[in-house]
Amino acid sequence: MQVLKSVLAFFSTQIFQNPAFFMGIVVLIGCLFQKKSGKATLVSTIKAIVGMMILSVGSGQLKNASQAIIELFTARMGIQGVSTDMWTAVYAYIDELKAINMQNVAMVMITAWIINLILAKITPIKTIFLTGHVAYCDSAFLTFFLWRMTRLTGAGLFITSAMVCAIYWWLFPSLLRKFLNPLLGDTPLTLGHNLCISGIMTTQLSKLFGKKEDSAENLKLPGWLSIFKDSIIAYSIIMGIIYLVITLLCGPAIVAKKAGSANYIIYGLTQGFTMAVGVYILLAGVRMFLNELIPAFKGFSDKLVPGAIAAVDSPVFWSYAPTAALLGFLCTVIGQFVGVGILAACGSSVIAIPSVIPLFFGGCTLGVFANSTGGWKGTIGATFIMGIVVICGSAGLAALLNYNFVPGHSDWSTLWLVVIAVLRLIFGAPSKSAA
Amino acid sequence: MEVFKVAVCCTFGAGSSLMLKMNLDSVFAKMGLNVDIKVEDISSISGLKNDLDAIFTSSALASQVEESIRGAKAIVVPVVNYFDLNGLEKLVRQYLLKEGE
Repeated sequence: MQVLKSVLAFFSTQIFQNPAFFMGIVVLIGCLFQKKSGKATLVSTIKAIVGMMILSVGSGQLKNASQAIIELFTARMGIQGVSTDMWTAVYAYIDELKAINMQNVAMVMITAWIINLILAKITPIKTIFLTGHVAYCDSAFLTFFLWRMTRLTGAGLFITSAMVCAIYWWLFPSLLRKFLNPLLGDTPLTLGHNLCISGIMTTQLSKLFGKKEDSAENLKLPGWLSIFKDSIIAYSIIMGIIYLVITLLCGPAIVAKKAGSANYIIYGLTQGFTMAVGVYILLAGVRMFLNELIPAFKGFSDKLVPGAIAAVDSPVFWSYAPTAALLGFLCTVIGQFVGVGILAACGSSVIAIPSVIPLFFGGCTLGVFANSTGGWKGTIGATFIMGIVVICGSAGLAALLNYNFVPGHSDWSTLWLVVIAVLRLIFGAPSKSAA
Repeated sequence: MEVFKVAVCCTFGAGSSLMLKMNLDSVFAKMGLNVDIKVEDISSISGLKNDLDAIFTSSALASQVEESIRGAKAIVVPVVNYFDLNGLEKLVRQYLLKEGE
């Protein structure tokens, strides 16, 4: 009995609270189910564990680079700066969740996936969420938000968070699906990303500005814009410029507190480029563990729920309207910076700092959606407005959470902003101001 | 039997390209061809260019990929619908097996 207890204790503290080893176990079980060879099983299991460890190194880089800049911004302006980078938020939240032993959000993710499969099996809504990295991020976001707003911990938090994730992944992509008919026809596909409710809003906004017959695909955009399709270049240029502007605003004296002997301009650029370094490392890790996990999960779900509608990552949709995607990105950039201007002009005590993922991945995807209902005029109008919504909504979310890292994508500044506001009405303001 | 060396490529190399890899895996299997498919992002693809027969990518990214592998033997295959398995099979026949036309 004593032995059994210590074995259980070993698993619950050493494996189930350790995301990397937990993922290793999940992939190991997946391999056994697929009857893979011993060699292939060993390779897959190691890759899943190492991939998770690489992911954590990369997102740690992002957090360190952006935190320094946000502290400088706050020191100079007396206004709370807020990061809108999704991977930075993942790292920050998981770090906080260690306080209640909930850092293994991979366990929430796997449980939520199983619930998603069951829901798709037993209800008429057959959506299966297949974007693994977004699932991982969402698990961290929702677990942290629920803990922070409702103060749930332990099993209660775990079950609530897994249920909420599962319902978000299963229901919302299917709500979006019917608005994607002009784009997808009857392909059994929908978007599995944090752009569902905001995607619906975009298609409706777009109609107010133009007609779908005037497609953005007839426009010719400058060729150099396509360099942003390379995520390393996008991160380097966009974060380099934003951080450079912030260090220039701060001036050498304030920046020296962080930069030491480094020149303040070089320091700003270095921190921006460090974001690209972090993303590159992170991607290597994400790819490594998802390559092991997703095919196994898909094989499983194909057997259990035949004919399911796959909710997949955003770049799948860009090929339907590549020019509209770039136009959406461009107008989202303008919209987000106008959003920053609006917050500053209103004397807001919180300002959200634009970041690559909501700008590029959000902008491109919403651009394609907008074009399918409102053509190029609709794309310009809708993505510009959604850019403002992302920045103002993110600032609002940060204020409600009393926390200066938020996920950034537009569902978090629309749908979840409302949910968090309701939770705050019920449970009151979160007390601790962390990070 | 020849093993085709193929990469799929997207901006992140984690989400949509993995979907494309899984669909291509089943297309190649159905056609009875051996294939080794790697998943990459645009930044890393140029390092592999001489090791590959073909790179499947979104038609939104094809010109960008072509630019970064210029001079290599790999051919770039632009894909519009990642989930149209018949369409993917046509692309494999057209670009890799050089059938028809």
